[in-house]
Amino acid sequence: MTAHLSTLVLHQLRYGELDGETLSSARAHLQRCPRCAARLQVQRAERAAFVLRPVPESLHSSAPAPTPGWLRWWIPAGLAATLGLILVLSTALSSAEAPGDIIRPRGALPDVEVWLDSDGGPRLLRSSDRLEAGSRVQLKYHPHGASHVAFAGRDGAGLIEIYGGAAVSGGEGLIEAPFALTLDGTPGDQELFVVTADHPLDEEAVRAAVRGGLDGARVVRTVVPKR
Amino acid sequence: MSLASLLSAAASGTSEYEAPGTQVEQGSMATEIDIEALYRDYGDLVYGRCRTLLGNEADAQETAQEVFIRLMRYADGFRGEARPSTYLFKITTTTCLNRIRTRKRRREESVEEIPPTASNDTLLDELELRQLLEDLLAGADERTQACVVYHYVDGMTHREVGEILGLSGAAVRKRIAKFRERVRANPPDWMEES
Repeated sequence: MTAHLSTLVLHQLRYGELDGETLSSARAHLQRCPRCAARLQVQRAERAAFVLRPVPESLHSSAPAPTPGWLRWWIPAGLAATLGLILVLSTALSSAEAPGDIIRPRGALPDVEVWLDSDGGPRLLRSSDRLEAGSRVQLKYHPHGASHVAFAGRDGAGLIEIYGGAAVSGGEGLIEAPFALTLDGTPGDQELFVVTADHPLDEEAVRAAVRGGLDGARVVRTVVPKR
Repeated sequence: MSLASLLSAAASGTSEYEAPGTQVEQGSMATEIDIEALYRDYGDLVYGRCRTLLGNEADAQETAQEVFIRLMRYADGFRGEARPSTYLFKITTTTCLNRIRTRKRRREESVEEIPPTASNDTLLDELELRQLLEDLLAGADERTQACVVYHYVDGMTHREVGEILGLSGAAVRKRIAKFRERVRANPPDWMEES
């Protein structure tokens, strides 16, 4: 039985819970063992299908319900920290693993999802994740019918960076940003903004939206935790 | 982050357990486990495990919810666990075996009547898995059932099984050997894996 990775080790690999020799050993095994690679693929497929499911009603009562509306994003105290992002103009992270629309509790689509390029393939960023230099993330956003979108970030010093903008392309549900972002070595958490509107967004408009709002634009903010 | 720290964060109302991309109003954090966040993060493990062991969708959904409800009710007992996936893997397996035993006792359906699922992430194919569970139900005690499932279905070593069940590797080996001896007269397909 030791000729293969255990089912639990495959899960731990996906969840980023392995390190050191255990991690390198598991990776090496997967490269030479098509059977375990296929088993890992089954787990990834399960994950991709799972995120389409709503949280069962029976589990709702124990946790606070997410509050819809970008105006009420909770800003944790002491969040401010310096961090930078290097924009990587590239194609999206391998979308083979990533599902399309993500249905959240109570059937509502989220405004934004953050996907991480992990050892086990692209996956939704989890509460326990703390990213580091070189980590690659990609946003998926809900356009809410807008025709244009822009992406920006803000570090702890208040420096706003405009990553880019584009016409919204895609159908219903969440849409992948046209590029991925790679974190640099600056410590601290990073705010990310998705600005959508019914008109093209220039740099000045995006800055205004990030700073406090822009008439006719919708701003969604999320925080990427970093070590 | 360990499950213990996840729980502590949830209990203290800090931002530690705020799932990125989610919105949480200040001061409204759960005082127990943020079960929804755990479900979003680890629900695929629990649900997939349930479907693999139980063999049908309806039971899997029901049992997966049962696992999380247990987490919710007995949160204090879960503090100190190192890895959420390990803990959830264990309690899901236990819950599934309980359900299989109950199902068998009630004769709601026999194991062989369960329609096979398309694929699974274990070392046995669907027929081998069903056969093994049938053999297990025929007489092994609960602890031995768990040992056999972790070893033959999931490919854990005796030591790894011992760690998850709180037994020594030797104790696991002994239980598995005893079970093998019992079915040796008519060796099933799954035994060829060992």
